[in-house]
Amino acid sequence: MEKISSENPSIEKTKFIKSKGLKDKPHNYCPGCGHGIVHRLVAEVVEELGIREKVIAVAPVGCAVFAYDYWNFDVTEAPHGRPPAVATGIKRILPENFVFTYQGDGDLAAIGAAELIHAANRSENITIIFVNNTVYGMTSGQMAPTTLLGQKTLTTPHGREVLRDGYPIKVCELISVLDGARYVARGSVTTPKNVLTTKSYIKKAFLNQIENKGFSIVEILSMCPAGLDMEPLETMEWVDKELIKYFPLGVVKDV
Amino acid sequence: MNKTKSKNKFIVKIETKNCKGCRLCIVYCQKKNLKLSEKINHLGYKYCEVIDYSNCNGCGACYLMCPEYCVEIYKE
Repeated sequence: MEKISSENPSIEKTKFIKSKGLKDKPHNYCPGCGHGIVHRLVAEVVEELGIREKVIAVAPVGCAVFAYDYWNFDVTEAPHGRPPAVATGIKRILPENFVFTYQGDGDLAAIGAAELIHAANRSENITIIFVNNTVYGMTSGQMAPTTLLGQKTLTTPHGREVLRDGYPIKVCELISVLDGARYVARGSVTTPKNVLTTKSYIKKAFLNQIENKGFSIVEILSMCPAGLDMEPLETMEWVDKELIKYFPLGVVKDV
Repeated sequence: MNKTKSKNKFIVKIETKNCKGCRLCIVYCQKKNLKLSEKINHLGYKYCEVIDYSNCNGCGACYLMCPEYCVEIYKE
């Protein structure tokens, strides 16, 4: 691995510096939280596409609620679960602007499921960044619709059961059935390779909106050490081993 | 010797005041060139430190994994 990378000429030209799409303010996420990595990927893609002056992001309730403090572009706030509806309004009034939403699993898959499905069905020309960490992180780790079967959370101390709580929702597969969905992909941020792959998914989804193709969603499996009650490295391994079995990575739909 | 010298062109800069000691960068460093400090920063966490500044191969794994944007790598 070292040999390949040291001989690779492209690496010699690379330098890694903080994107201009991010503010200097240090954020208040827990140590090892995946939100920081996803924030950086979004900011980098926005900067690479040169659309920073046109972007309007919509942040929901959840850990991403303070996104306007960390991104160096316009961010607005939406009620719990309603970012697809707010983004629809913004995009219809200001079609020249670039509109995306940044949501968690408790927000998008639970209270906001109706808004998501109908926005996808209308094929609104918006992009959705969906951060899936299987728990309600901000309220300290209750069961979310994406919690795995048998997973222990604050509200399922003996593990999630099918009879009581139902099955985990596969949002990407659910949305891909709708004809309105144009690009559906699932990535993760657990290894440098996965981070780069996820960045390419986000870029493709953003390009779809610029080309007026319609609705696109990128799900990102992320780690929540505080909500899952694990060490940061343990959480990363758990996402890599357990979560990926149920939520396989890759492009689900690309029309 | 000359060959190894020509490879060492990268400067790692770590903003230790924002580091929360999650160790994601330490695990993925190809050269095992990062470690946690003995001291703590003003946030109360042990922060990430570079062991040998001349040993970096500029792969950028630490930059890609850092959730706090503490790491920056410059080409000399």
